[in-house]
Amino acid sequence: MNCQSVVNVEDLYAEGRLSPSRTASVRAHIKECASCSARLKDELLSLKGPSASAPKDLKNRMKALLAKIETEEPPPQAKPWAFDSEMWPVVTSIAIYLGLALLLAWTVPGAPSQRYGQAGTEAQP
Amino acid sequence: MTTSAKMTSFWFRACETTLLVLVFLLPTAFFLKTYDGMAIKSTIFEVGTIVLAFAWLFKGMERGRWELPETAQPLALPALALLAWTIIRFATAPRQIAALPDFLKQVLCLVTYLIVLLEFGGVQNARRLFGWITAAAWIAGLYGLCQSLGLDPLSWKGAFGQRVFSTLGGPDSLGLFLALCIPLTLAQWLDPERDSFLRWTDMALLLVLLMNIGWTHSFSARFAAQRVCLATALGLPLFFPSRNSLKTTIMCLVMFVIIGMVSFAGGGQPEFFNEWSHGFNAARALISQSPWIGHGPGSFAAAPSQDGGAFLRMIAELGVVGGALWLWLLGSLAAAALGARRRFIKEGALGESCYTAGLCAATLGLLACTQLTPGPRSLFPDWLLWPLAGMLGGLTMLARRGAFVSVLPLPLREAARHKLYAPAFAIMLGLVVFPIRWFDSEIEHNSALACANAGDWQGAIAHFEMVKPGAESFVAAQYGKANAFLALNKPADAINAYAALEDLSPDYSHVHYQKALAYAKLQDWTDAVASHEIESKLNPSFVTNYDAWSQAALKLGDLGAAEVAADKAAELEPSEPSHKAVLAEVYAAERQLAEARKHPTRVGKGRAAGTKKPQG
Repeated sequence: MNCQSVVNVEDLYAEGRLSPSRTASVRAHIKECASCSARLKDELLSLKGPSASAPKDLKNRMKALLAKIETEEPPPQAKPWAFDSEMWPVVTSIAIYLGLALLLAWTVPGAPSQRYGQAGTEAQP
Repeated sequence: MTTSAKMTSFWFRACETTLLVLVFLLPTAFFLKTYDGMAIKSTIFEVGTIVLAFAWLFKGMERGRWELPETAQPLALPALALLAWTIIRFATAPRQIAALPDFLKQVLCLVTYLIVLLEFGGVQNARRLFGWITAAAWIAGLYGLCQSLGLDPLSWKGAFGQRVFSTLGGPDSLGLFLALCIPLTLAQWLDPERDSFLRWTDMALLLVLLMNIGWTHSFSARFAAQRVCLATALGLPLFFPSRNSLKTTIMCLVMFVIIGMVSFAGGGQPEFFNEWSHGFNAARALISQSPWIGHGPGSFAAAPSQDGGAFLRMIAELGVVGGALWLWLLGSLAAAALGARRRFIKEGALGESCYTAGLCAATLGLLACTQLTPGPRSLFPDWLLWPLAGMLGGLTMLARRGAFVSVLPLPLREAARHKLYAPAFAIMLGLVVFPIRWFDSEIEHNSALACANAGDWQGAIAHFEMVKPGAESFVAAQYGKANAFLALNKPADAINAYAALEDLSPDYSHVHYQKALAYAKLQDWTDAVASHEIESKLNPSFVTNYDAWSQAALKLGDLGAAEVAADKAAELEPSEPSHKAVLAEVYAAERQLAEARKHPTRVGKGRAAGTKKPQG
């Protein structure tokens, strides 16, 4: 592996998700490459974060948040068939498709499909 | 979000959109300026899969690596092995030009499976895929409804009589596609997050599907629906061991009983099974010639034969090795689905259970319809097996343990990787040009047939020559060109064209019969008789060949062969007077010869009439 290959997989390596064979090759590279070794050390430290413990009031904050959610009225469910902004890409795609299809059907020269009409070209004896 | 992350997300969206557009367009698109209005589906499939594959490659390029999660490996490795074997067999097989369209289909189907497996694993992706397939089913179903009411505004109105064929261009294909949509619609209906309004539309769609299947008046479509419903009835309860299972089972069994009653009420069974028997024998003959490594992908197209099921065809083309790889893939999928079922039930993942059940039923039904028994053979809905199987594999990955990811890193910096876009785009566009040119060839082929039907043989030859190698109709165009030369009374040119065709596909259609006619025009009776004899071995029920063979043998003076051929024609069509006339001519010649032997001085004087065979 070269340095750039290590850069491209270092997030997986830091998370411990890289396959054992690839992990071994990354480790072999780190042993020989000081810059990659230093960079990966930083990466691992940044993943660990400045503080390993959760805030003291996290539990209470979560409880309060859950209580608030339970008392609140649920938001109105979006109607999938309603014509909202999310439908625009679909409508646009269908319009483009239909437009292209009509353009193709009218502009491309050619005879009407022969399958739904006569026989083929075989000469009779 | 960094630019690279945005670009990675963009390419994922491009992959997803392309897949959804493909599953929507393939069942709905048709174009009525090609011989078969469905030729456009091949073009969309080829262009779409090329774009899908490149979008996936670009995504990996942007990230600087391509990933293969450990959980996907049992399902990806058999497909990769089958893909490699298909490519190796094609590279070493004869007659690659004729086999190219079929080979490309096989490769692109496997590519679709792999990309769907690796990229679209979640239940949200399954919801989207099912949504687009059922949207296409609505369009096909409603157009079918219009056709059944006689409201088809297009030129192919009534092409199959009273039978409905809709956007699929054939009653059998339509029936199979709509049958496949039954488990998909049921799975959506069972989805706990489905909106109640959409659940009503699911019920309405089921009704539309069943009505359309009935209107196809096709035994194979009803038979397909029966098998899919059976797979649904058996598959859905496995995933719902609670109250839902009873509801589902009753629903499936009711559908099964209705379709079972309809299936055997209609006709068509004898022809259907007769065709299968012919196909089975043809495949068996091909397999016995090269059982281990087969004849190469696409060889069925190069040596046209009736189909006895895609699995037999695969063994004929890829040998026992290919068949074993296919079974490995199938077995891995089945094991993964059963494993996922236990996990989903245990963890109460109802959404995942619904879609895995629907995918299992649809995949099993499609396999039963296309692989193991005869059925409608067409790019669509056969292709649907691959994205559905890939999606099934992707969903089952959610239930597998395994955190590792195998990667193939791209050893380039981001700037250098971005420089790769230009050549990669150029390659993609270069590849996309081929299907577009082949589509143009299909239009030329149709124009050639229009000229031929109008008697303009010169025009037909000019159009046939425009058909490019690699197009599905390329071999047919060579045949048409040779026939046009024959019609123009240029037998020498026709023989050359037939010889060129034989290099591509030695036993194409009635090539030996047509070639015999060309030899007859040149009065080369020896070669004419030899060609008729080959044709009779390939197509033993082709009656016209026996008549022409008998005439050629008479000219050659081989009265024995002439009598055998004329007898065969009369045996195949006893009520046809023209065969009796040929037989009478042969008997008359035999009588004349016998008389000439008795009285050598009267040779050549007069011919006796009648069909009575001379004694002695």
